[in-house]
Formats: sequence, structure tokens, C-alpha cells
Amino acid sequence: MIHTTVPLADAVGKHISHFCPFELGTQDDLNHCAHLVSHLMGYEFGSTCKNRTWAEKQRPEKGATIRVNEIFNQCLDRGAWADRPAHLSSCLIFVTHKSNMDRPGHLLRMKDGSKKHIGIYVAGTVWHYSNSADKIVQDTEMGFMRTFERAYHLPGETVTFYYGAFL
Amino acid sequence: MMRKALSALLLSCCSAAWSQAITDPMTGAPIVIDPTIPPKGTQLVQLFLLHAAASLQGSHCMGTEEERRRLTLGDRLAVVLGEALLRNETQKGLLHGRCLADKSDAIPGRVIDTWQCELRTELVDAQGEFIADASVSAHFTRDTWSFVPGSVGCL
Repeated sequence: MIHTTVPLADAVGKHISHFCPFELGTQDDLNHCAHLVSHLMGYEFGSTCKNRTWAEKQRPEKGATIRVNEIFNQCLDRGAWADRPAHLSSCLIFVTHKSNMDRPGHLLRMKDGSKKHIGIYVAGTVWHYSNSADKIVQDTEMGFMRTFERAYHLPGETVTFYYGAFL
Repeated sequence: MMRKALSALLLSCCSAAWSQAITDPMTGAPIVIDPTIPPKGTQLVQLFLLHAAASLQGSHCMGTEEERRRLTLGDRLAVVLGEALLRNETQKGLLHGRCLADKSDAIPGRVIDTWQCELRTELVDAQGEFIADASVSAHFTRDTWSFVPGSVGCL
């Protein structure tokens, strides 16, 4: 079961500023994928949109986590997309280069490489923030994967997908 | 009272430790700082280079707290600039930089006027569409451009 602050179907087409009351939400040249997922899911830990300036830290509104790897590394149940448990019909979906992952213990860890993205997966559909269109888009699982295999393609690198159970 | 004295001591100790004379990289001559004008261009890059040895400890940058004890602002700078080089022939890496007026409470008990300066690289495709970005930011005091310990941020 997924609980979002706004129904996913209603979120499609909206700009990040619809969800974020802080200055970061007005900056279209930044990556808002983790920022959007965190506002929708209510994640507020690590680096947040509220912690960017001193004045914004004083405001009463909640902030939202803004870094993909901080969300992935917080998921207790996480792994390669191909190993996603059958019962997990809705979860977070992540994409990055294989070289941006390591396994310091028994769990995978995502490092700080810049090519990383996150979306919300529900039964074959992915909702995520398009940083080129500056709005929330809905795509099929295959469409999402094709988009990022093309965007992140780099000789010598492998584009890989991961799941994380909702926090 | 004790807390105030400790904070003052910390600020004076750290300001002294982290205040390095910023010079014009073309001539080596000292720069005259006007607290109303933010660092820009070469000054901004030089501020980060001058404090490259500063620790990432206490920030949310780069890995675990244990790793951040080993890592420095210079390491993060290498990641940010290096990411713009990890691209194929159709993509472009852009460098952005800016300093905005802000305040910092990184030193307990004190709120000081600062410039929050950021260097960011952005990777775009042939059509100029966003692919990825990486950034590092830090606070510098408004009056002397001294690095504020514990103020490093990453995105």
C-alpha cells in the first residue's frame, strides 16, 4: 500500500514548486527527482530543501530529502531490480551506473556519483520528476528504463536499476 | 556565559585557522574585500581551492560519517569538476558558480553574516536538456571571506 501526500494521478504534470514551499523548488536548473519523491512520501532526513539557507531553516514548514543516494541507503529492503521480491508490487525505483554502487556489508550502497535518478513504481508504472520538462511525468517501467539507459549511456559504464521498499 | 565564551573562542580560533589571504590569481596581489560585494569568477574558485584541506566531517556529503572524516572539500571539488568530464561526445559539461547573502549557525551560539558560495557542474545532452549535476557549497564570512568550518553542503 502506498501513501502519498497527493494522489499520484493528480501529481502528473505539476511543477516541483507545487509541493515545495522553499527557494529550491523554484530552481529549474537543478535535479528534483529525490526532492519530488520525498515531498510525495514525506521523507525528511539528511540534506533537505529546508536546510539550504539559514532563513529557511527558521520556517515552520517541513522540508524534504533531496539526495537520491541518501534515500536508497536508508531503505531496509533494497537490491538489484532483477532481484525485486515478487510481493513488492509498489516500491521505489532507482537508476545509476554500476560503478556508483558498492557493498560494504551485506547491503548494497549507492555512492555520490551524479548520474542517479529515482521514481515511484506501482504495478508497472513509474512516476518521477522530469528535469528537462520540469514536471512530474508518468511512464511505463520499460519506457523509464529506455530513457535512462540512453541518457546515462557512457562507454565503459553499465546503467543499472535498483529497488527499495518504501520507508 | 561559559557557552558564549566558548563560542567566541571557537570563532576566533577557527577564523584564524581558516582565514587565508585571497589574492588575484593573475597578479598575486591581495584582494580588497568589500563586504557588500560577493566573491565572483576566479575569486570564487580560489576560495574553494584555498580551503581544499577542510574536512567534510559533519556535512551530508559523500558516504558515511567515517568516510567523511577522511574526505576533504578538495575531494568533493574533484568529484564535482570530474563529473563534468564523464560524458560522451554529444554531451556538454557546464560550470556554474554563485555566492548568495546568507547567515550561518555552524558555530554553536553564533549566527554570522556569510556568503553561501556554490560551484556546480551540469551535464546536458546535445539539445541542452538536463542529464545530471553535482555541486559543492560552503559559507565564507561576509567581511573577511574566511571559511566557516562545518558549513560544507553537497547536492
